[in-house]
This record gives sequence, structure tokens and C-alpha cells, in this order.
Amino acid sequence: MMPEFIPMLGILGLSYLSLALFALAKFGHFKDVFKRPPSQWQSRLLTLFAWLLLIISLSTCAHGQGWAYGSILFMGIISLAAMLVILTLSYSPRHLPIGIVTGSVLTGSLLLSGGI
Amino acid sequence: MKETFFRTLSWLHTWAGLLVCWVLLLIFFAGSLSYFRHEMSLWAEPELHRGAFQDYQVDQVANQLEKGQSYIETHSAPNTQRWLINFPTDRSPMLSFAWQLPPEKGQRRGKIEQHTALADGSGVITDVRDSRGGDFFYRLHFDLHYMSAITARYIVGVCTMLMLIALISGIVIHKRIFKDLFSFRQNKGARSWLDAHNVSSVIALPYHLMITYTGLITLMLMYIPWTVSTAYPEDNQAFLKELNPARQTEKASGIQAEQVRLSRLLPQVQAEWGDAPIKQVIVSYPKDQNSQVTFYQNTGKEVTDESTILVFNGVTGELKYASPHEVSATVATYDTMMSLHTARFAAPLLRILFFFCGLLGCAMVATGTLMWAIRLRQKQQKAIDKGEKASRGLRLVEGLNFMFILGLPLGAAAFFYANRLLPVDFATRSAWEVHSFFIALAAMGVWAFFGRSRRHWQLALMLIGVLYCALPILNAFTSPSHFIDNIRSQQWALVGFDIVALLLGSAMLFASTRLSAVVKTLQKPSRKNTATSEKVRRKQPDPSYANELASSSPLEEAKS
Repeated sequence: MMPEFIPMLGILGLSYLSLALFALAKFGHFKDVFKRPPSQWQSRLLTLFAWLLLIISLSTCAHGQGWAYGSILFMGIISLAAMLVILTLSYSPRHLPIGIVTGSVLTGSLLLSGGI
Repeated sequence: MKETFFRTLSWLHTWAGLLVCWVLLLIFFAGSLSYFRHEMSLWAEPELHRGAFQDYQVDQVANQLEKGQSYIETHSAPNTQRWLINFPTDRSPMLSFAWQLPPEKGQRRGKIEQHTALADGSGVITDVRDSRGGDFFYRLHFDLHYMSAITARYIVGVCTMLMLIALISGIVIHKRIFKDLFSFRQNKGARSWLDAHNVSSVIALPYHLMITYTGLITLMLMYIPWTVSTAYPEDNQAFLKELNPARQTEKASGIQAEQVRLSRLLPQVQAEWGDAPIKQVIVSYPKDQNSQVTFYQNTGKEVTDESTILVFNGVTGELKYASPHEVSATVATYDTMMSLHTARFAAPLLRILFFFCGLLGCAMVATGTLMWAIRLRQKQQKAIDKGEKASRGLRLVEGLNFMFILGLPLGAAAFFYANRLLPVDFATRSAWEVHSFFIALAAMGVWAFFGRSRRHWQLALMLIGVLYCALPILNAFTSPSHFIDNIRSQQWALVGFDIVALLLGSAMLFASTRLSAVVKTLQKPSRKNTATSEKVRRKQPDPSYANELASSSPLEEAKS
């Protein structure tokens, strides 16, 4: 039962990353986090990367669990990740970059160790 | 035109949602808990917490079948209708032997007597307290209680339909669905409640749509029976038989016959399934000429509700039927929807996520009703300031909010406390466990008569929070194994129960302390920005404080 949770942490990290980038692509949230407005190309780039990460996390999930089970699981994970992003943004937006770094380190290390 | 369109839809959203919101909250709450139906049932039978847990062992199956059959044969009454042998699974890690007696007059199903084997094979546990456990919450979410199941299902069906309407109209009127996806502005009065409502709806939107729609589908043949009754005018059974030939068992012939040894069928089962785990073996009409033996496979994570079975003749041991039979696309679709709703396939992690989404559903309904109360109060604020009494509608809405939002978690706690504290030999104890749920709910209703102010919310939240946090302690004193024991013996279902109780309890205590923080901020407006308040969850601060913070009516934005 336990090992099931570990690769899922990686997917959660990826989804968190993706949603955090989506949030940063929005004018208001970017300003809350960095105290300055984003330029237009910054916004576009963030959105692009966010989509990429979202697709990667869905396909990783489906790859590990099969499409039927994986896509259902993905929906659940994305809800949880969205909740975490919202909590970070509304209670301490300055810490979003820390969340992003944690997410990448978590996902990266699991990817390297072959955990996902 | 556009103006009217959106106005009409937001009128629809408001009324479709509000008419049935408290019933919906009950359905969502009980439904979310039912994801842990078996875990709760296990918790509710502490007699089984020591010595009975075991894993499924392929090489033991033949032995266990033989033992089970002999045990049932020697202990059951001669007129037994079915034998059941349940093998250990992940969610119910125990081997049990059971038999079902013929139904008594006026009852549809006969009583099932179940004995659980000790893991070391030294005997069985026969004395288990009478409790409905998780089945109560499962039944509650579509059969309600204190009324006939049919009436209840029609009520639930109407509520579900209105819920679906509210969801779809909600999506249309929430124009900034992606723009505001991550926006939750705290301490902004009604604006915050709207944000909390939007956030809890949108981030679990796929789940909400899925669970509402599939919820309707589960009972679709009851709600719309005419297609079937037109095609099969005489008899519903003919339809069921054609739908699934395996589901039909022949009637008992009344002629005695020698029952086949179950372990003798095992080689045939293994030839079909290999070493795939067996979940259950059922013998219908044992020792009758028409006896039939059915093996159920443990299908694990497949997204299906259809069981994989093998049916044998109970006398000759001849294989009569093996699934899966070819199903049409319609049946496959229906099956997928069923399984999505019941989530029987979900492994622990996905189950937790479903539960989380279910709680978000509760939050969605609760924030919706709280906003309604705030809006009513804002409309009457001037009159109330002048010293007039709040209108009857407002008092009713606030009272019902208080009763249901606080009463449901309190009721669940009362149920679990009753389970452990009522005497074991008390005759109608399982009924009284259920009564205590409703007594607690009613108690909150009575409380609401005497006061629904912020102070009362705070007290009630604290009470419920403490009750939840004390559940692990209750468990430690009233069952043979406490939290640490369960971790050591890796009983994650029982460990999980304690953890969830602690988490819910702390969330409520947190909400309660936040309320007092908000009270202080209200007194010192200069410190407004430092106070935070958790409003995303179901256990929430008082609507009227939000009202005091809201100077204008940002709620109208959503109604544009």
C-alpha cells in the first residue's frame, strides 16, 4: 500500500508546478508574488510551460496507472494541487516560488531515481 | 437579451440550489463518508481488531474453503438459504464464514449470521456487537431514514436533478471561471464567501459533475421506468434476466442432494483465472438439487462494477457460466458510470482524493447556503439596525444552516460514540446508534432556537472539534488495539480512521479559534489585515460576522 504514494507525490509536484505557473500567468497573482506586473511575453511563456507540465503530468499518471484509472486519479490530484496553490496564494503569496522550487526538486529527484 | 439570459440563469442557480440545499448537504456528507464504508464498519466492530487480520494467501485457499464448508455445515440451520465464504481483501483483511437464514415475515432479506476466523486458525470469533457501521452512512445518502426507501429515493432524485441544474447554470453564470480560478480573497466579507463557494466548486468541478450525473444514473430505471415497462410489459424479471443471465438463480427444488465439496471446484477455478485472488464464494440453496456455487474474483483497480464470476452446479460441480460475457456498449457505459460513482475500484490514495472532493462538495453547498443567509441579512440590515426583528425567513435559513452545517458532523461523532459506549448486549443497539445520529442533529436544531450568533458557532465548533479529536482516545479505551498498536500491526484502515478524525477535529478547532481572532479584529479595525480566517472548509465561521465586514454588496457582482 505504501509504495503507491511515492510516485504520486511526484505527480502532485508536477501538477502543483503547472497550476502555480498558470496562476503566475495572471496579472494579479504575478503582482502579488513579485511586486511588479508581468510583461506580456512573460505571461505567454508561463502559460505555455504550464500547459506543457500539465500534459506531462497527465501522461505520466496515465503511463503508470493505465488510462482509465490514471485519468481519474489525475483529476483528484489536480484538485488537491489547485487547493494547495490557492492556499499558498491567499495566505502567503511570497512563498509561491518556494513551493515551486519544492515541487521541482521533488519531481526531479523522483524522475532521476526512476520512481515515476 | 443577454442581460435577461444571465439574470434568468442566476435566478435558476439560486433557487435550484437553495430549495434543496440542506438535503444536498446531508447527501454529500453521508456520501463522502461512504467512501470509507468498509473501514468504518471495521472500526465499528472492535471485537475483530485482535487476532483476525490476515492477508490473502493463494496456497491456503483450498484449505480455507474446506474448513469454511465444514464449519458452516456443522453450525448453520438446515433451512439456510445461502452460504458465504469471504476471503481477505485489502479493505477487509479477514476470512469469514457466513450463512443467510430465510427471510422472516415482512422482510425482504433474511438475516446473515457471520463468524470470523482467527488468523492462526485456532478458532472463530462469534460474538460481534450489532452495528450498522459504514453501511448506515451508505444507506443514508440515498435511502435517508425514518421513511420508506422508495419515497426517499424519489426525494434524493429530485434533489440530485436540482443539483445538476444548479451546477450547469452555475458554470454559465460564473463568467470568470478560469480568470478567477486561483482567487480567494480572505477577510473581505461576502466577497470571501463567494470566493470560497467558487473555489470549492471549480477546483473539483469534474468531480461534482460526475458524482451528480452518475448519481442520477444509478437509479435511472426507477426514475424513468417506462422504457423498460414498454418493452417488457409483463415482467421486470425478464428484462433483468436478458440483461445479465448470470444474475438469475434457479429456485430451490425442495429435493435434497449431496453438496459438492467447494475445494474440489478449485482446480477448475484456477484453470480459468490462474492465481487471481478470489474475493468471495457463495452457495445458493445448499444441499438442494438446484444448488449453485458462485466464485467472485477480486478485480482490484479495474474501473468496473460488474463482478467477474464463475458459476458452478452445486451438485455435479459442472461449470455453468463464466464472465465476462460480451456486453453491449450501453451496458459497458452504464457499468463505467456505476463504478465511477461507487469508486469500488479505488485504491487508498484515489479513495482519499474522492473523499477530499466530496468534502469540497459539502463546502460548496455550505458556502452557498451561508451566502444566502448573508444576502437576506444585508437586505434587512437597515430594519434590523432600527431595532426590528429579523424576518421569519432569515431566522429559518440561519437556523437550518446552524442545524445542518454543525449538526451533521456532530451526528457522525455521536454515531461513533454510541457505537462504543452503548452496552454490547443492549437489544436494539444498532438502531440506537442511528437514533443518536439524528438526536445530535436535532439537538443542533434546538440550539439554533436559542442562539445562532458568532459566539454560538464558536462554541459548537469547539465542542465538535474536541469530540472528533477525542475519537482516537475513545478507540484506545474501547477496543483491544490503540493507535500505536495499529501502526505496528500495519492496520492502515484503523490508523486512517484516527488520523481523519484528528484532522477533521483540528480543522474545526482551528475554525473556532479563527472566529475569535475575527471577533478581536472587528473590535480593532486597524489590525484587520493581520487576521486570517480559514473559510475554505465546511466548518465555517458565522455568516453574520462576514456581514459586518462587508460594507458594500460585492455579492451582486456574481449576480450580474
